[in-house]
Amino acid sequence: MIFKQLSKQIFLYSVLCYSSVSWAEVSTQFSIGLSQTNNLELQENIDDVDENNSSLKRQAIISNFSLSKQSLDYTGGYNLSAQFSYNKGLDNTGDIQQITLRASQLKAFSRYWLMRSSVLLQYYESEPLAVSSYTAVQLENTLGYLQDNNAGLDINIRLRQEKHRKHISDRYKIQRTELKFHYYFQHYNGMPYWAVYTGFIHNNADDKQRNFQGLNAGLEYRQWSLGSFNGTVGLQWQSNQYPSFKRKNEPKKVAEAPNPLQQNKSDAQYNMAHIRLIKPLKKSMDLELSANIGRYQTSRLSSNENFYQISSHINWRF
Amino acid sequence: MNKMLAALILAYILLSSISANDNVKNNTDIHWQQLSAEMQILLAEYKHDWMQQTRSKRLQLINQGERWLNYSDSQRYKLWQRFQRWQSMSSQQRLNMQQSYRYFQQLSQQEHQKIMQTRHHFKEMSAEKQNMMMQRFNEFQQRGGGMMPNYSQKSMAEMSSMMEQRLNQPNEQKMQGM
Repeated sequence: MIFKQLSKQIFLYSVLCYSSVSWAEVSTQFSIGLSQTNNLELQENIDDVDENNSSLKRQAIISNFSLSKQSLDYTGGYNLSAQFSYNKGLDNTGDIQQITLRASQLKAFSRYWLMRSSVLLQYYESEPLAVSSYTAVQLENTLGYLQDNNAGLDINIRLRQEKHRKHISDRYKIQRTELKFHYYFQHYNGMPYWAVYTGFIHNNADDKQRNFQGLNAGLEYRQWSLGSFNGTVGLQWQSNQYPSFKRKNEPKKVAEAPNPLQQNKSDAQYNMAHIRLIKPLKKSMDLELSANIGRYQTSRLSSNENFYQISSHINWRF
Repeated sequence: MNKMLAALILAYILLSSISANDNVKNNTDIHWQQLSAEMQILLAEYKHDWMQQTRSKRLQLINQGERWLNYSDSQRYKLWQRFQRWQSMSSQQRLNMQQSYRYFQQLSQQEHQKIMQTRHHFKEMSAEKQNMMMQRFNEFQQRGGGMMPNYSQKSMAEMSSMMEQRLNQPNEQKMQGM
């Protein structure tokens, strides 16, 4: 009798080793919350605004719905996601909508090397700053190296094209290339860890005044716990170099001495900090608090610009 | 353990042929006397089970036993390890495995081939290692979500020229917008 059981179990186990462990999941998330933003121009994807809109400050109710399906086995799989976000401005500051569709393929080359290739389509419409509205397509590839102790490196390359067509007097296209290296320090699963990154950005636009090259670097502390909150905190620095240009809407300056600074390349620098905290309320519900603060500096003037965004959300997962 | 199992199998085969050959019986008696009392009780229980089996089942078991004896030491060791892993699993894990097995049985020939091909790339990857790879994918996906998506992906990159223009505006004009 024991023989029969033994052989049956051995056979069963042998066959099972030929089958694969796979996992498929559909997840849905809805979130709603409040946010406050100042200097919206600095936090939007624009580089030209009406003077009346400068330093735009707004409060908003943000609702977000996302649906994703992921299917994976140990060799790889795919992830499909759709996201719709509606940002209802209070005090008649206008609404912002965003729709994002993303398809990713994941592949394991070996135990240590993984790859994710994604294509993303995005529609973004902003009433407070019409010039920032765009449609975008993005191709992205990330090669990830993961060691047994969870340390690793991500090498990410991203090609993005944006068409800004909403603003009647200012329509332009942007092609952006980004290369980023992200290193993650060793950690146990679910435990806090440090990460550092650096990246290069090349922005090419058919409107030459929007061309620039940027460098960024950052430091993050992830999966950090503060009481019953879990979160991430980080610092980022970014520096952009602009070629000299003359703005197309700039009025002609008559009999004015040339400014030597304007004839050379100019640069701009951002110093930013971010904190995000999540507190689980129920099994499928959590509270999310986040704050971004930053300072903008340019070589043209000695004064600085500060900006921030704070928000609180309730997230539901289904 | 491996040797003990082989000895048990051998004992089964010998016990099954006791009535057929007197010489064998004599030899078996000698072996029997050499076994410990505990082992004798165990084998007596096995014999009792054996006697209750039908002829076809006995033949089937003998074939399986012979196949086991024909395995190389490394093959036996590998199977024995798998068996031990199976035994160490919880009932829930075993249930999951059985469900996977049933799922596997329902697959088409083409799907079987696909699995075998992917398996080939991962050289006899065990379920344990497969789970480890799944965890790696999850880690890879999680860490891919940067904490500053608004800034690093799109938002902060293009504002410099606009800000330069703004900062070049007369202060009074700038203050009006505040």
